[in-house]
Amino acid sequence: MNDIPASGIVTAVAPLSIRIQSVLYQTPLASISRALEFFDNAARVAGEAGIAHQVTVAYGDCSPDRIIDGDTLLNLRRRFSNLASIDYTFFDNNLGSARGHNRLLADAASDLLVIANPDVLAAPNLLIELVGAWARPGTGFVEARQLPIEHPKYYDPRTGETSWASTACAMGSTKLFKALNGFDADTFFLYCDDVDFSWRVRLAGLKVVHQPLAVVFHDKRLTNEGSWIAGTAERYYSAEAGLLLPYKYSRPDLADKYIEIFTASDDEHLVKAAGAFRLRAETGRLPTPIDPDHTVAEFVDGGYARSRYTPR
Amino acid sequence: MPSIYQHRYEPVSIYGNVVSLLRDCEGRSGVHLDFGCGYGAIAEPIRDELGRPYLGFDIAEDGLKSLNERGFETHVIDLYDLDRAGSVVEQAIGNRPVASMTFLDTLEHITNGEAVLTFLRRIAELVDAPLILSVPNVTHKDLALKLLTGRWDVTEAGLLDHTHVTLYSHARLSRMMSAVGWRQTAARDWLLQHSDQEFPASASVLNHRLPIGHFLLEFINRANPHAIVNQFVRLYRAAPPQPQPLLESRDEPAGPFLSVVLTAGEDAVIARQAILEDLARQSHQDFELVIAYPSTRDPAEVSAGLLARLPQSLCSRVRLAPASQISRPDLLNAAVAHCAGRYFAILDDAETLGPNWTASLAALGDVSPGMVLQLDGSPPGITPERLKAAALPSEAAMSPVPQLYRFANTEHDHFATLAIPTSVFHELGLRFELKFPDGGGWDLAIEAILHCGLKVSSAQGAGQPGESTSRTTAVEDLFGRSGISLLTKLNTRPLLLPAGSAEQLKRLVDEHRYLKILAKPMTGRLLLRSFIEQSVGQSSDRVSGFTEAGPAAGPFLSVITRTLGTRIHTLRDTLLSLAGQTCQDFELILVVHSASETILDTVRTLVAEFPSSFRQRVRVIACDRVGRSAPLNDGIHHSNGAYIAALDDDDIALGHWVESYRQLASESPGALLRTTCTRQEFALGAANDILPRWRAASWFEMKWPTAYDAVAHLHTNYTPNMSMAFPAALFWEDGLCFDETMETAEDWEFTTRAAMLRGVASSAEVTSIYRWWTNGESTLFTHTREQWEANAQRIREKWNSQPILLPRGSASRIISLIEEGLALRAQVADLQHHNRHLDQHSRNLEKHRRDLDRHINNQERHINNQEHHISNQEQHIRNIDNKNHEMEEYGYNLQEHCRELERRNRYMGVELIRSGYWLPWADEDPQLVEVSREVLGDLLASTSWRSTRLLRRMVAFCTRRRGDDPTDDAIPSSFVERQRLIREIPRSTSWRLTFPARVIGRLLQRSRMIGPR
Repeated sequence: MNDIPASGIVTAVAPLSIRIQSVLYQTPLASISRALEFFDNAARVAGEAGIAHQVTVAYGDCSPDRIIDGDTLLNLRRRFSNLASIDYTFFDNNLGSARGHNRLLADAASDLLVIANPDVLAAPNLLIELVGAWARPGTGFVEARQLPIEHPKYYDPRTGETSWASTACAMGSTKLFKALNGFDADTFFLYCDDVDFSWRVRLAGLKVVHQPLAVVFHDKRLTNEGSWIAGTAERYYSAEAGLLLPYKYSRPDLADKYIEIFTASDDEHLVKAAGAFRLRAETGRLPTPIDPDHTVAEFVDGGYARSRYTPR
Repeated sequence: MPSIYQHRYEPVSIYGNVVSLLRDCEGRSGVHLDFGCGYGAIAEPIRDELGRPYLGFDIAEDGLKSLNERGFETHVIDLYDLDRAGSVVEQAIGNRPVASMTFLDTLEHITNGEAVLTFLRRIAELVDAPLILSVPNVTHKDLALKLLTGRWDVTEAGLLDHTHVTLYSHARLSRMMSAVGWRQTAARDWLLQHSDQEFPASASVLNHRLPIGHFLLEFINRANPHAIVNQFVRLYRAAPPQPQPLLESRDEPAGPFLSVVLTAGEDAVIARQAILEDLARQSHQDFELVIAYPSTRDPAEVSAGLLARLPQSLCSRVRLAPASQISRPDLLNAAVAHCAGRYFAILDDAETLGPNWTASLAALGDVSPGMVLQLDGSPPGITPERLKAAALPSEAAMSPVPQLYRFANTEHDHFATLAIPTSVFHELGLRFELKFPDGGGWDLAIEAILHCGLKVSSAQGAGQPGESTSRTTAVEDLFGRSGISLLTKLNTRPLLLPAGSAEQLKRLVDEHRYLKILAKPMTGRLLLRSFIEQSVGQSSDRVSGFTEAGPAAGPFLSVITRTLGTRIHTLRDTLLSLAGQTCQDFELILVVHSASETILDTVRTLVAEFPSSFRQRVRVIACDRVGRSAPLNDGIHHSNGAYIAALDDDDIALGHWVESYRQLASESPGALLRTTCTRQEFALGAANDILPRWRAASWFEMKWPTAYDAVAHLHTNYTPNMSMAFPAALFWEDGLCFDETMETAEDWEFTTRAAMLRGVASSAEVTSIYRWWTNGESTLFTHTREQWEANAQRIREKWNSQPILLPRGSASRIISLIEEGLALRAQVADLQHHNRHLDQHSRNLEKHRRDLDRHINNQERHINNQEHHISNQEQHIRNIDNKNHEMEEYGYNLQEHCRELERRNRYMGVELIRSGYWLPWADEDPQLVEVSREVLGDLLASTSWRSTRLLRRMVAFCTRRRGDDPTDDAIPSSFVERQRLIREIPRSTSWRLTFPARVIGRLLQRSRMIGPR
């Protein structure tokens, strides 16, 4: 591993080693294979551009049964030759996204680490553009733009600075991840672990940056009325995180307000999330509040950043 | 190797129908003669089922050999050598009776058909045998439809067998048989909905799920009663020949200009003599009279009764038409079937006719032959008053599209204003619908107008006494039962509208939108609307369930992406969105438009970045012709897909864009495929923004409907290019292409044309994103609004110059537009009326306000005066108060003065009383009385007085004067007496004597007072 700083304070980026890691949960093998094909291609392009000398992929599997067996793994490794390695760990337990990534992080030795959803398809220039943005002084965590449905959160049009980065695809140095002890897996199971991590990056004095030139295709659909389609897991875990995040960032007033709203709601997921929060409180499992001066946390209209426009 | 003509007998086949007809002739005994027997497919059933010996005659030895091998008797005859053939037949029959004869699938193979039929008749006449004939029908719909597109596909066998030398239609066959002396007594034609000529499957005219195929099938089925007859299979008996020309004459059929149709009920032949007299008075007498009557009546009786009442001049021009039923449609159908005129007009009992009725119709017919003619420009239902009220130009109501609506009301009774070409009945097969017994015949009138158009004259030709005063509006009329049924009927098939309709429909949509804004909120007739929707169902745009198109050689979809090569970042997004498709069964034709080699290389480099599985399906081609359509046409030229879709270099496909098209294609092959597109605003940032400088600026807006609306698309394009996939056959077979002269809206023009031909299958799935640039470079900004408008106008003019074909359900759609337009117009008129009232009311209110202002001003002045007055009064009051105050003060001073004076007066009184003066009022003052008493008492009690008492007594004694010496214990009660004593005592001697003592006493007293302390 190069002597790489936590932030991209480098003027000329030497070829770096990049590790891409994803946590699987019953992800179709075909989907994994397609994602690998695009990462393999992005690794090729980054290698040809002299940006990355080694790109590896690490999967952690939270599924009840193995998705990738030994033969398949060998086959994938043979097929995607631009990836220096494809590692696969079967957790035999549904650890959730945050803990799964932390487990994988323990083995990470690359300069840079890309956290990605297992179903995103990388644009050819993804790694080049991520590294390019990360190399700007003071940058800690870089987020790729998602296609076809772009995230509506605000970012500075000149610097790309933003409140938080989505780990649908985001990159930081491995050192940074380790310095911050990875994701807060005790608090966040599936959603908002990236928001929390981003804010801790900013608390550490580094910037979180959106890089619109780095693109991943994340196959999200719209309803026939043009609205966002949220699955059951997303509705529940984002609601649960929506209570824990304000509590952790010293906004118990907001947490209390949301609990009240959730409890009175007709939405079973909200009611359940409120119950889970109360149970945590009773059993002393709430996170220790940080950022008492509210220097990084943003709670705007139920979101965690200003929005350029309001999604439906 | 079996011959192509060697068929096995099947009960359900042409031969099955032949045997079935023969079976109907059972009871006859004898041999069966089969001329042109071929391989004798019917030989076994004739022998085995009918028990008749079978004799086969033909020239082809293969067939005869086959029959011989199967144990049947055969003879060789040459139908071109009929003399010898006659001998052979005669010898073959010998003395045996002949039960029946067949002549199957042979007539079309010979050129001397008339002679052969005559030859067969001679045999039949001798032996009194029936003949069964089978011959292919060259008017089968599949042949007719393909002929429309220039196809005449001669095949090895079948309807267009390569050995056929003569072609037969029903009419030709009938004429020939009749001329030769054959009378048809039964028929069991072999019907095939799908003949051997139903190919290729991709031909749109053969696909009845597509609008063009549907329309043509409906048309041909109606016009040609033998449209699905594959083979005429008919039973004939010998009859006297009916000599007639066997070749069709080009002369127009003889007949009058007009057939006037009258219907007679069961009881009355003609209700009113007046109509007959009106007819007799017509200035133009080129007409006949066709009177329909129920066949239950005796024709002789009807004729006699009629002739007795008819004016003499009409008697020679009357036809009687018996009808099997007494319903109006039956009577009308029977009557028109008997019409020999080029036009027919229907007169109802209550009609009255002007003397120039037929003359006016004839004049109109000369101007517009073949069209439906109408006198009297005031259309029923949409009265001039109503139009005037709605401020609608009357010509709008007369235009082709609203005509569909104006006649949809069957309650209108001015049928005599119309003359309908008789050809619509005889040639197009239109009939008065029996299921509309109350329809009055308007169903046929509307159909005729849709097919032939309408020519309207303002001439007044027919009227009706006692115009209905309770006529309802057209909108309400449409609720009529027959109107609804008619609407349902019209909705079941595509509509053919005349040239000019596109503009009319656009105006309808325009008006509808405009009026909707004006008349908001609109009440509408929900009941009707919901009924129409239910009648039409949800399938107006969706075509489904027909046979799979032939497999395409290439991928399912060819995606054509146009790029100028100047937006590499957006193009990369577009390519990534394609690479991310769940269905990868597509190729991408990337057309770099008017690009330099450098730009072309840039685009190629971009493509080379992508994974090989994707880039190997991408072809980059250059197009240097101008116009937005040129790269599309070039892309199509290079495409191999079964369908073609465009995705421009700033568009984004969602992951299931291709998959959704494939799903739709599997449900509705051959149709245009439409998914739903959403719109997202994108904004270009400042020069120093991070690349790519633009970003999304809004959430997704559903600006375009989820289903294709053919009528609405005549007005505006509601289908962004990337949300439509076109069958490749549109380009390769139907010969369409994008109009390269279009600067903009080329997709709209093309899509609408293509949709008319093939229909559109729609899906509500949102599968693509249209990037709507709020600034920067796009056609929105590179072309002016005037250019857009000019192109739109050009497109509409193009459509307007030709008939348009709309999918089934469009009748409802148009009527709904008109209906809502009428309702809205009425509402606007009401609102305008209301507005006028409001204006008047407003003016009244203004006047009232001015009056009130004046009144208020007066009141204010009055109030000011009053206030001023009050102010004065208040000042006055304040002055009076001051005066009062002064007066009170003065009074008080006066009282004080009085009291002072009173005190002084009392003091003086007291002093005077003390001095012994007499005061006249003193005895009235108790104080003075008391003072008098005290003063006198003091004097009498004084030492001076008491000490001198003895002296006084002595003097009294001495002087002898008698009198009391007053003492202090005997003070006189009389005031006067006291005052006298007070006055006299100090003057008395006693007092004077004691003066020194008193002085001394006073001095002593003073000294005591001033002595040492």
